[in-house]
Amino acid sequence: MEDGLISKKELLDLTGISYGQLYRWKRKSLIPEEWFIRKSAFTGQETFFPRENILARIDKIKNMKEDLSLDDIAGKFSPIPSEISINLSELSTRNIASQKAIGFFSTHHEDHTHFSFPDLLLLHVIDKLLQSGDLNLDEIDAAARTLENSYKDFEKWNCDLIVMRKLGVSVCIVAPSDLPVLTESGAKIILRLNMAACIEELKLRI
Amino acid sequence: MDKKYKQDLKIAGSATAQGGSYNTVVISGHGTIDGDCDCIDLKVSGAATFNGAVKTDSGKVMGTATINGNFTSADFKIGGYLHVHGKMEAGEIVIEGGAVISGGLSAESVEIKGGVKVKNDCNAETFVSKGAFAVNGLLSADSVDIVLYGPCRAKEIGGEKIEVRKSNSYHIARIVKSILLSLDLDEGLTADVIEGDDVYLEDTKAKAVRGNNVIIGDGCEIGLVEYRSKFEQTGNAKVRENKKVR
Repeated sequence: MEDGLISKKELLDLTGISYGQLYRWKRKSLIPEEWFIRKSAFTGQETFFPRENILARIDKIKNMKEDLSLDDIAGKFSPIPSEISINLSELSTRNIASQKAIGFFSTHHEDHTHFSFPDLLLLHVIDKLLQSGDLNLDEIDAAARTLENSYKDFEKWNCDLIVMRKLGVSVCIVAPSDLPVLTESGAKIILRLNMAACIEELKLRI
Repeated sequence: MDKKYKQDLKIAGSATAQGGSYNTVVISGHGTIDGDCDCIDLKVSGAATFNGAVKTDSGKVMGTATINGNFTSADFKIGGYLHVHGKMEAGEIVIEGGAVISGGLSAESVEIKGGVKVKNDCNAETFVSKGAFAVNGLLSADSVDIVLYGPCRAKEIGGEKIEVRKSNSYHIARIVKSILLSLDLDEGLTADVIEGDDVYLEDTKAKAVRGNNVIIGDGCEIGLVEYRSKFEQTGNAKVRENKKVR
């Protein structure tokens, strides 16, 4: 089979879920429409899935469905941000972001005591960038500002945060994640972070 | 806004009204509504055209209605004819007349006693058909219950429990029609792929049927059956190939 894809039959086999569950989860948007990849076969068309994504997703759904309703789970996977407000003390006690990230965030947002979902997402991304060690502080600052300005677009598209560097000068952009980014020679993409994945990670924490 | 502050909209002759937020909308003549329309109850017994999205808690079309936009309703009944050019989202929908839904249908329950054409996917928790339908995309429901009173078509059908039975009157209708019109009537269910946990089929033509427990009954022509636990073939069913898969 083609690399990175799994057939529907193999998927059901491997995960032990039924056709009924798969179709129900699809209807509830627990599994995104784009993951159903159709290819021609003698029966008309066969459905394939991106192997790693779907296996990880089904694992998560199976773990969560004991405690949550399908609609609640769908909310967690949806790229549409939830309405939430968390205060400063909760941030550290609930382990949403590291002290370093909170410190970094508050240098730009003074007297911020209540954190809405966009703030939390920014915090989460800052935390990730700090920990990855790929970027220096100025670049993280630029990335954070770019995110803040383009936040509205995440709801509409599946976006990536991309940081490129050439001759020591870095540039930060936000682009749709299904498009390849071509750069001039000498420029290097040092980071590409999918925002939908970040939102999903964050939702699982809060 | 509170219900009591909203106004009613009634069109009895021929009129054009603006969209907006209404309490009840009753169109018994010939009415056109321009712009999005949001209401508690919607009744059309004449001819209505909505140029915009329509949202209503409950409603009924006994005449003809065309919605040039998306349509949302918690509880809706179609006794006449409804054409939705956008998507339709509903709680419960009962179709006794005819409907064409161009942008796909999502509902908790769909009950068809007339005829429906969905030019996209059709999603429901329960799908019951005692009429005719054509779904160009995937028909997906927890429970799919089809009694064949007319030609039924879907590209794919998927769900937990899928049951397709022929009706008694349909037999008689077929004999009468074949004598009178001497046409080659193809009035069963046609689908490319049918996938469910428990599948029972009669009078169905499909390229592939997959499931845990699969029973292929009278009048079926199936290319391939893939089953996990049980496979049975009854009556004059034709199955070219069957495979047990783990």
